[in-house]
Amino acid sequence: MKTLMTNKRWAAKYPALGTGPVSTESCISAEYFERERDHIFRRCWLNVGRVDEIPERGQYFVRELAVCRTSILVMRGKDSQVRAFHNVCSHRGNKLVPHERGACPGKIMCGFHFWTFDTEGKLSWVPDEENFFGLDKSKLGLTPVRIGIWEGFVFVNLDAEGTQSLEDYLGGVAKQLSGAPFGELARLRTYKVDERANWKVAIDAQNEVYHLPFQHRFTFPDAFILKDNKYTRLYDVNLYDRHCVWSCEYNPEYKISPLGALLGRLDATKNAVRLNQMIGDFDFFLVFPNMVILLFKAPKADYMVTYNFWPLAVDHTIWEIRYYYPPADNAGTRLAQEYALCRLRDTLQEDAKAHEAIHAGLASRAKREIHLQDDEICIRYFHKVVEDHVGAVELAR
Amino acid sequence: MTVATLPEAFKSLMPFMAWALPTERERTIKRLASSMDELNSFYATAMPQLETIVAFLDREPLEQMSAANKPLMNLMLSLVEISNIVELYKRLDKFDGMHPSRFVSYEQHHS
Repeated sequence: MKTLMTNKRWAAKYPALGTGPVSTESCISAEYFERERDHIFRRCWLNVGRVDEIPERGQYFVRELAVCRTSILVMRGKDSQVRAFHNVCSHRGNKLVPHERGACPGKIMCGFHFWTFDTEGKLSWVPDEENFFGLDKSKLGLTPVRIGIWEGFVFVNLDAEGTQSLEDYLGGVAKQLSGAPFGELARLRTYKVDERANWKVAIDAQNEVYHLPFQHRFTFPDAFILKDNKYTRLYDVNLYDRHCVWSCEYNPEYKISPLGALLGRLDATKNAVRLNQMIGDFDFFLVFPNMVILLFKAPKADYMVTYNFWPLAVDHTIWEIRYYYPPADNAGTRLAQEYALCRLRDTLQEDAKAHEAIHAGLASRAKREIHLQDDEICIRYFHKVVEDHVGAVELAR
Repeated sequence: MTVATLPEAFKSLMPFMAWALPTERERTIKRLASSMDELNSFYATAMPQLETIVAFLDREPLEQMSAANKPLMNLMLSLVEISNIVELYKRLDKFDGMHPSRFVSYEQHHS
């Protein structure tokens, strides 16, 4: 065992963060949520997909960024370059691409009057152009959005004035995970969960493992090292500039189910992808503001799950969950992946129920603060980073 | 619609062919509509054959699995789908999470 069992390690590592209670008002204030739109979501780099969703020239996908009140088109041009645009036609402002994904043969056309753009976003054709007044097509391309690609993840930044590169923004996360072979993993499943909860409440509920032996007493009580066989202890915590990661060590005494044990033996993959950039056996990277990268070591091959939390309103969030495994090369592996997926899925359904229950509790304002133990330090840090961007919340009366 | 058939060696699974479902969404819906006795009975029949079935399926590459063998694979995916209830919760009412229908699932080709 590598995990140290001493108490209050993380407060000692990061003393400036403090140890007091954290205000809950920022999770329930509609006014604060409006400020978050401007100061977080319209300023920060946001993960909107992966480049492997559009491997071919002319392929595109659309992301509805309701929190930024815009729709984004991400397209691979004829020159192979991936670009992002506001999904808005230059003529009258119609939504250019009304569906989620597709491929175009070199041009993309608005359904309203067939204004046509090339795959680099330039306006290439206007029907009955002669009847317009001094139209300069060269100035009427799609409005570009800053885009960055890191280890296959596509990020956009809606701050047109911003200058910080994605790599610099990701800072310690980019350094720690540099070169991780995420491209060798394939998406097996996606979930979208429509929740009546604040986006930070949903993230907070995931952002610790203190709750595992309790809330997940039937699904994952003993997956990670426990102190006195009762309480979780983190193996490591790293707070980066606005992002953070905590890591766990697996419990060697974990009681695996009969099917889990059998599939572990039948998993005969030769596709042994290894994420050597990991810190523990399980790493939880919170990429500010709303993305989580979960990395799992496993006996035959490592794997990844990602979360994206998309706020629709102060009390309404879409939680997207994506599972990535090395492509299965035999039936035993495929079933072992499904087993790991279903086991975690049920756990996340327990979490999702809690998100709504917690939000309702906070919204009652019966309690104005939450109390965090040392292993919940990343929740404390996340709220501090939110406050650094948005400012302090004013208490409602 | 004709019911798919199974290789002779696995005929004991024929009563469970309604579980031969290709997507997680369908498997979850079927699970939610089943009684504990039905789940136990499917598990008790399928689990002892899993190893033999995997060996049988792995005679051909997974990517090129023949249409004839897909129902068998899908049955095994359903065994996985029900295993948490049978092995962990052991009762239908023990799981205390968000209703699974609210976890809208998309297979790999969507995102």
